[in-house]
Amino acid sequence: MIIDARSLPSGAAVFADVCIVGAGAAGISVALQLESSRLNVVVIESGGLHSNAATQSLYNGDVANPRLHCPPVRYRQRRFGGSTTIWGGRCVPLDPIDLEQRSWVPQSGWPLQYEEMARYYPEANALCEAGDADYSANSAVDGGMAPLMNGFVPKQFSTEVIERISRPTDFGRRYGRRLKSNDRIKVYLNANCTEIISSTEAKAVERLIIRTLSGRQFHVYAGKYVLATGGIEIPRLLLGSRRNYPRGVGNEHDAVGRYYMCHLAGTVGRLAFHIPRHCIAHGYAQTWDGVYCRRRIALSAEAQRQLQVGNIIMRLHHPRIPDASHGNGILSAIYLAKPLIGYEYAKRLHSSGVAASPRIHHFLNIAKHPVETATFAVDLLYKRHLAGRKFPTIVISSRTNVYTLDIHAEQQPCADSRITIGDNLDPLGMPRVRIDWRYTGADIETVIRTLTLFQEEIASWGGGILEFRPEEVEAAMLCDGAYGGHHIGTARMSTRPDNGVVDANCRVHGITNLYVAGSAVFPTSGQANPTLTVVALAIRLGQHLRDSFLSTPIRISSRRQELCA
Amino acid sequence: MRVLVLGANGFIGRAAINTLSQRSDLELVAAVRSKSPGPDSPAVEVRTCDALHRASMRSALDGVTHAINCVMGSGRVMFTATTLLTELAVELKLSRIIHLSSIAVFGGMTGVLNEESAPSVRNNAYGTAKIACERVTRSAAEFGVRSVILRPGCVYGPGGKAWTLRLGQLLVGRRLGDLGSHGDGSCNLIYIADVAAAIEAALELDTKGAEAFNLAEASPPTWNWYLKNFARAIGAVPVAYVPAWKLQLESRLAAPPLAAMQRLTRNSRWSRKLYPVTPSLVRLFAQEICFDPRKVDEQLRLRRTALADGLTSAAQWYRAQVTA
Repeated sequence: MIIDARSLPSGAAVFADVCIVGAGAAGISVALQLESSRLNVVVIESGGLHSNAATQSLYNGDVANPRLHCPPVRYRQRRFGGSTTIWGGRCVPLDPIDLEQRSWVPQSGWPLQYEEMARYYPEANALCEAGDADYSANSAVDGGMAPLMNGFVPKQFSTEVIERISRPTDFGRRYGRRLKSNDRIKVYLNANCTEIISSTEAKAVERLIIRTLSGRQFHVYAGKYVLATGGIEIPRLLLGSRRNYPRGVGNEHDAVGRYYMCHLAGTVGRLAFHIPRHCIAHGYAQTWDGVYCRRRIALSAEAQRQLQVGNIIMRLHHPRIPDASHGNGILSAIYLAKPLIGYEYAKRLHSSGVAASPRIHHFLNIAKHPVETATFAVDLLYKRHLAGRKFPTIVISSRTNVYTLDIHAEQQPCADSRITIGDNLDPLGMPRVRIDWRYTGADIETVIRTLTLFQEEIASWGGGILEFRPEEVEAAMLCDGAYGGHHIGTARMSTRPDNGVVDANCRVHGITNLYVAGSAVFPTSGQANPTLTVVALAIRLGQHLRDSFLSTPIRISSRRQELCA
Repeated sequence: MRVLVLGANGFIGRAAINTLSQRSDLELVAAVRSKSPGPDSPAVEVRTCDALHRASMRSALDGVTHAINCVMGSGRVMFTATTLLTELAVELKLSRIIHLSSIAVFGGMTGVLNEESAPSVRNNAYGTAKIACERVTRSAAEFGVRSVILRPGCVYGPGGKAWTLRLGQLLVGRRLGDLGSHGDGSCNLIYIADVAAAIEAALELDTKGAEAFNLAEASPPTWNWYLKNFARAIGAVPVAYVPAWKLQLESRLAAPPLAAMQRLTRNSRWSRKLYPVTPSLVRLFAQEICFDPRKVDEQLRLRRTALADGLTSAAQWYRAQVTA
């Protein structure tokens, strides 16, 4: 059932067994697990079915260094479906090493076994419409995928691992119908949770204060509460709820908002191949069920241990688009079309760290290759804009057999990289966020050591040559700032309350009935894009909640009787 | 026991003949329309019968103790044939009628239903005709003729046009595939051999009056699952993702002319290319309805064919059809 919260009278009380705050990938995935549980579920969503500027502006806040981090309104969507309404769809599971305690990565180690989490990946894959949870290039596609670089058999890297690309699934559109038709799940739209009221005696959340931009206020009373508002809003809500916890809910040990991680990403190096062009297959293949997938170059776990670096992957990439010397009509057309491309996808066109060529050079590139460029435009229309399953990204076969390397690397936990709240208030009276994202030398070292090792492997193979300058790596990784949209670690999972915010079941330490769903709970970021793991952990949390209600006699119906008495 | 199968040349009728002809303890009579060839088995007696004419039906029922009504056609045809059969069954004191109905009697209902659930009066022409036929069949019980009503879901498998050949063609044409939220409905499949097994069990079911059974998968998959996996089994890969707007265009704009053209080209090789994706089909793909399997399990003791096995043999038959 979907309800507009603006239709509720002020002062109303809403009762539920489970209240989920946020209807994005995490919140909807938790709700779907409770679909047939007979529990009464309330989902509180700030936005409506469509984007709304006033609602979106509630995300406004400050950024300590705007060169390093985008404004907080970017890469996030405050609406039903959350940021899945704009995501790219890349689905990759974490690797077993990501969950290990690694002596060379401070604060590493998840209080979870990998096998425990891997159990939820198949269902997460299904919810993300990314096909089977098979991430091997040999078996994911019937007959196996063509080798990335024919003849290249690296010792310390794997090119057998793939990424799968979701349609990309907008969770609101895809699962809204199921939530709408369920009488026990009530989704309140245009409802902003502005405060968590908790009792220090009971060590439990008593209720949530919900406000609408139209001026209504009501309360939600639930047996258990799940915060699923994303890695920046979760610390904002916890830190801003100071009524009985002056440091914020769950923040007894000052961990809320700290260890904020994104990923380090950028394009670096020059990889020139001696093997024929057709021996390079860096594009997408489709699985039997139509899912696009692509090989990646992954640093092995053994090599991470030897090099004492974080996890990292690379992809063969086209040359930097703004520099017209690539001579490619398609890339030039993309460069010229950048005003038509959304901020999140055009960012690299604006600030890729290389000087942009004059526009005339780009026009000349198009004039030299009109057929190729026109074919690309038609493909773009049919395979991306009109297709139900969108062709994921631009893949260009290099005419000159020269590529760059697109890097996606782990960022190590750093206590000083943090989300805090300031004195500025939004129109609903909530303190606005301040983002101070920081990286460490170890993060840059991960990229440099990996590239050095890869350079050696390419050289010993003899099929190409990789050139890069270590002193340029930092600038290349940071020219676009922190990787957008990956907001990780701000309510990290830990065994003990003194070095984290939630326990292995994602329950806030010291609060009996408050849970967190989303990448905020990841203790480390790994190499993987976070959404698939967000969904996997949300499924796990949903099942945990369902099971815990079966074994717990406390039901909200009894609390309702107390309140009404 | 002498058993007459009415509509013996149809999809279900033929399967019933195949299964029952293995039984040496019963005499089998296949009633087919004139000009239709009868079943191959020499053990089966073939009688031509016009199910819409009393005299013809009466002679087909001569000496018969049990009748299985597999007549398919328009609502009028099904209702007239069922009424005639029921009247003659009473008159000739038949022991039992087994009537093939459909879960279409539940129309657009949702949720978990069982045999006690009342059929939906808000229904389309096919569902309404099936409800009327059930009512007539049940009335025979008042006159001492026991009746068993079997309501199969979507019957798939070798020989199946609606849920095997048609869907296969639509999948190959990339007009169906993964339907996203429009394919989340329950796919209440039943394998053709399981329907035949249910008919066989119904012949000996210990009942005094009228009984009904809903025949479907115990834990039905979603339509998306069936469409994707059937597409894979017949080699229609990569499976298309059919967005909502395309489905709406198909069902609202393309379906009426396609249906008309299909009628015009009936029995030609073109007709297979012209299957419409009708609005009712689109509604069915999203309909969340499933059936409590307990009565079927306990009383008919039906062992359903595993979905994977059913899909394999359906796909084999489909491939043979399109290469023929």
